[in-house]
Amino acid sequence: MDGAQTETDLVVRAQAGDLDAQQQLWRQHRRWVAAIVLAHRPRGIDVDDLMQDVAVKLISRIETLREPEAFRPWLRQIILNVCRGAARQLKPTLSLSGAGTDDGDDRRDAIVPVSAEPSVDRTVGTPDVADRLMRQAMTLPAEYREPLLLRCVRSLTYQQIAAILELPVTTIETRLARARRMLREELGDEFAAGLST
Amino acid sequence: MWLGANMSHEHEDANLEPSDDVLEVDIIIGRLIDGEATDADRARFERLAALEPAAWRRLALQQADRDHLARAYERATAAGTDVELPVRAAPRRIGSSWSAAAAWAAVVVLALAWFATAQRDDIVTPDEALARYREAPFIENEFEPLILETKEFEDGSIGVRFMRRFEESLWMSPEMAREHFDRERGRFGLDPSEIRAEQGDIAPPVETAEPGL
Repeated sequence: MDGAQTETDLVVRAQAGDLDAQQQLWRQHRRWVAAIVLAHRPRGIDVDDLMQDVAVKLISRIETLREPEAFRPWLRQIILNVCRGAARQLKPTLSLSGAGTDDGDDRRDAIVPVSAEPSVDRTVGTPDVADRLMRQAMTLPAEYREPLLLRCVRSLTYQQIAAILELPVTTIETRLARARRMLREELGDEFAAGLST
Repeated sequence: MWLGANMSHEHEDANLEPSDDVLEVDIIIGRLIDGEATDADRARFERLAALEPAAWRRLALQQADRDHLARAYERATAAGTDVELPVRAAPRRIGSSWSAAAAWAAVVVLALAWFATAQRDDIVTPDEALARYREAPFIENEFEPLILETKEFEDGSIGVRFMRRFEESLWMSPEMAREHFDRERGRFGLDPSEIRAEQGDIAPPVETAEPGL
């Protein structure tokens, strides 16, 4: 039995209400789910909060998945919907503090930066190279940001990324190459010290 | 040793399809650092690098960038990748069911199931614990968080202090009510969680015309 067949079987079992299969399915996929969440999350909402919402939606809606073979793109769509829903709810929630009132002075952005930066290390004054790269990566267009972050998930191959995004492998390669080149052009030789020519 | 020499799979078509502004070497470097390169890719890169030695530097930079980004990614998603599935899919809303004995019976069953499941599974993070708490059958509603205070720090970040609010329900046997409930002040003599722990599997209350005590 190959990997795809195993995954399809797992999805079918999960759809039938098998709790162990549901847990297994989630644990197998949550690492790349986090990448998609990170790529699309609204400013000001933590990844783990969105992950929790995705987990709930996954279980409550898995019965609606018509093609178990298409589980990954289906799950990605769930993630996108969760992120969009969270973005819509952002304003009313924050408005409790009085920000973003009718006077047209939308102060949401003044509150959002708590988690607006990709880095979770908010105690360091000067971001390190990794933080700078992540921050730069988050400014890329979504079609480049998404495969780039998915590629950060260890063990995820080009083919698996292509399956999640429903794109040809060659497109994934091209987007990764462009994304990396854009990052490098933005950063220039800033972080190249120590590398010999 | 070649960077990214771990071959995860053979490409069905070794031919590259670089579009207008993506250089062939960028794609090959990507394959090399991602462990997706074939022998043909490595040979191709060697030929390109022989013509343009700067390709080696690009390879090293891309490798370093990839490692840095992966590290930042791990940090940014550390909490998220620990998230477990909720015990139940959707929060159960029993609404205004104080007068429905049947609903109480359902609450008892669900509460016992919830406690059994909650005690079986490990809770890893506070947010995970909170998510499970939200699923508890005695949770009637959750309200929007109430922001109490925002504070700006010197580095430009903003701290937000807020209150999360939940509406819970519980019931007590007449004996427990006599011992722990002050009718005049409307106060418990015990924490609600202690009352729930003490009530055990007592029968649901009988419906009354005036559900309030």
